[in-house]
Amino acid sequence: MAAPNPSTLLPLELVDKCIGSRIHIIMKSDKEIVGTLLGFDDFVNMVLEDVTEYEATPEGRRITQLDQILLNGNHITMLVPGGEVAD
Amino acid sequence: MLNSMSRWVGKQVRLKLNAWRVVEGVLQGYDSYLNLLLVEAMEVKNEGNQRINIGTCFVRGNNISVIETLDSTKI
Repeated sequence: MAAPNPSTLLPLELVDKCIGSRIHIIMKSDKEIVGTLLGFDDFVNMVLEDVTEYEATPEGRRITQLDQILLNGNHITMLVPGGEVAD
Repeated sequence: MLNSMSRWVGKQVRLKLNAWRVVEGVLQGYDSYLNLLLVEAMEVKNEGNQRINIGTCFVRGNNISVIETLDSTKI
């Protein structure tokens, strides 16, 4: 998938630059995941570690800690490199 | 159709995503899945009353329903 013109930066190139650093993932639902990106594939399935999961539930925000996960790319809406997003 | 996307690179766009999300930012790149790379991005909530800064982000193409150009670009 070549870039259409030289000044365009491919979206997946940004994700690739993020490998090894913290990334903030916003899902289709009201769930957000922050973790260290170990890798991803063409479908934007992602392998993350040291993961914190933020969920908006009727009781309020729930935070869970997970070690290493494979995140299904189907439900991902946005990726923000850096892992620090104000909410 | 994707050829016309190149005209919007560098321009301010507004994306309507699933779940009634609206994101604005400057388009830096795209691919054939309609994944986008935005810089100076922000999420617009409460009908424009609240803006949350995001910065640089990747938007997965399958969530996008509408891309609107905010800068005027004659196409």
